[in-house]
Amino acid sequence: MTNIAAILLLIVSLLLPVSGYADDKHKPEEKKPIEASQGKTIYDSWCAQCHGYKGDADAYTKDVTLPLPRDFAFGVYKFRSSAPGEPPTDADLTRIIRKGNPGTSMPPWERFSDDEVKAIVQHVKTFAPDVFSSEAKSIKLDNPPKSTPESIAKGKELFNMAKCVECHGKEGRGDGEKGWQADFKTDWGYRVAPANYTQGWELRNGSDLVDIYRTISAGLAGTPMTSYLDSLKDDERWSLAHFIKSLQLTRKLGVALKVKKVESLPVGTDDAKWKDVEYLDLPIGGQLMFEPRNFTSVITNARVRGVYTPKEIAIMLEWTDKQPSKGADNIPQDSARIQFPVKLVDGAERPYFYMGSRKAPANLWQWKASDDNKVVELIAKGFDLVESKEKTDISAVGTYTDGLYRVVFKRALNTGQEGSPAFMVGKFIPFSVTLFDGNNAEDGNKSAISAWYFLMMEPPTPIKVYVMPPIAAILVFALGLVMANNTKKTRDQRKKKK
Amino acid sequence: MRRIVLSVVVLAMLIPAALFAEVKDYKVEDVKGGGSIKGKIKASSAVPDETLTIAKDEAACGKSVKAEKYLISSDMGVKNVIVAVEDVEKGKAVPKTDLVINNKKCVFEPLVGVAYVGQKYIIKNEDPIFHNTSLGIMLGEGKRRTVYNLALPNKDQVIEKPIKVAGMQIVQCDAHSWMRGYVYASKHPYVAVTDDKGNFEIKDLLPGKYKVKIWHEGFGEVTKDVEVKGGAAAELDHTFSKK
Repeated sequence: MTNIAAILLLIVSLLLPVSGYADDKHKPEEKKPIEASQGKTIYDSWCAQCHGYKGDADAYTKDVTLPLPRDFAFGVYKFRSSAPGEPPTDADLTRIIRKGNPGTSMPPWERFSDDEVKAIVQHVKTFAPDVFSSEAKSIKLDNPPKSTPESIAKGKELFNMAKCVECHGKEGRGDGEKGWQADFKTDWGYRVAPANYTQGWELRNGSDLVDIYRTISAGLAGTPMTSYLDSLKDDERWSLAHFIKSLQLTRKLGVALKVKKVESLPVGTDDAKWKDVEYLDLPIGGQLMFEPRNFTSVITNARVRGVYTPKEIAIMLEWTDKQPSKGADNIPQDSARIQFPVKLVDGAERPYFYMGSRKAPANLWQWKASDDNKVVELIAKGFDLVESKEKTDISAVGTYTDGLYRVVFKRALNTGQEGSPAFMVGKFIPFSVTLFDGNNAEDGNKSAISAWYFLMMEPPTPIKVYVMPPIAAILVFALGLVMANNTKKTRDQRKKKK
Repeated sequence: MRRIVLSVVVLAMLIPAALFAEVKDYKVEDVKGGGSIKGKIKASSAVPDETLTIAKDEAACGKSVKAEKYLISSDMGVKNVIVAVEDVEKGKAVPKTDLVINNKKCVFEPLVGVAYVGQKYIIKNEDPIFHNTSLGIMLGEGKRRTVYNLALPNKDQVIEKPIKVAGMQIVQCDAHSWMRGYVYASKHPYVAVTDDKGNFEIKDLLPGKYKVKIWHEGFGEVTKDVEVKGGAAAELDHTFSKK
């Protein structure tokens, strides 16, 4: 009991905001007006490290950022509200500085005053004077029509008609065949992947309805994302935006996954039973502790679900991958791994987050895209000491459909095998997830990982939960009746005395 | 070898600079007693044309299409070579002609065209399928600078856009990788595209010394010095050989 209390305390404390960040926010204190010439000073101290002192993005961060920082001198700007062929507006540049570009290294900048941002914008424009020689106007973005089932249906029709589907895929996960042809490149000569609409948190140009509408209308200059401003009517582009917005996942973040008891485990990944199972979304990022480190990971989320029977547990991992890989020459295969501590101890103590240590090893379940649903079970005593177990009781089924991987792992709650932790109902069991995108050259330590989370197999609700409250209610009611009666009697007696 | 590589790299880096350098206003004035440049662009030997395979939308596009990259006449004249006088600051008025770029049977028509800054691109889609027309200034090393990237999802869609940016552009359709075209956008009227026999003529230039760029999709690019004298035609011939 004290353990659960300790864990709850930890969870609550994790939910509290970290006060240190507050200092980073812009303080609305009185400042002198900022001159445009100060833009360079601010740019050189805060922006040049990635965008280059000459605005040409020639900076030391270029090897560790994906996507690369914008090369301002090149003169092509993806994120605009202006018509095709026009430069971005000052408001566009301001929006990017203030809001950042989700899914990239460009953060939202809150520390600057409005005047400072203005000065930075003016300085950025000096890197490509010919592009900014004409004033740009924003297309009409206000008064969006309301999203209705009809407008979403209309948008879906347009999604196929306007061939969005060819690149972005049937379910909008960026897995369209067209997007993966070898010559699909940006103006800068880099390979480019179509956006995955379902994960709004990684949409560079923003995930709000108006952001989507702006992208469809103006296109993303320098990429194959073409402009529909002249070919689709305003209301058609809004409908398309309604449909695309409707594809976005609602991310459910937290620290613990509830695993409920069921009569029988779902069969495979398509079983309708999975639909009603609660999920938890785990943010995923590149592994940065050991070589080769993964600064340029592309997987950002793993969705986890679990159910159990008195004998077995089933855990489903779900993540998106724009182009599947079963492995080929120089291209590793896609893979997924769940990690548990070998020893489950009471309390919040967990092994080292990446592959444990000599003292506190980790138990790993690994599924590989080409291995025909065979699971490799590993015992890791640190990243440099990993042994695969000869025998495993874990089974797995994996599928890839329309840009989505789903892998279901199954295992007995207690295998009785050494190194495989026995899962107890009602305990918080630490777990974490590691994913590999083969087309992003992810293999070995170059992987995408989550932090530790917990799963908890919920004890079935005991019968007394249903019986005790009504009994208590009846007792309280009866007690109330008695008391009321007593009071009445006393009052009557007093009246009589008078 | 290293020097060649180095100079190529340096030259490639200078290409954008050269493009920016062209941003100078062009002054219109009467040209009296001007001269012309005429000539013939030839190939040193016959080069077989390529055939492009089509693996998408075959119903509208067909199974294959002739690239029409090397159109060489019996006397070795090369068609579709752009001949452009560089850095002309003044001269006769720029023609008031728009450039029509048509998507027809999944081929850009024309394959090579000249556009004049201040006029319009009229981009059409005659096919019953989606095309997008993307124009970009060619920067070398596989880089380009997008000028327009427009979707044309409907048959007989027409989009008009002002011609604002000068330079050598590639025209592409991201939906059909084999489609390509070339447009030279000019601020002045002294540009020509060679005919079937490889001949061209550029008229009414003010007398003076000029640099003339000769460009072909497959053969590449050379720049030549030409002196134009009043009332005469300066001869400019060039023979490309396949690298």
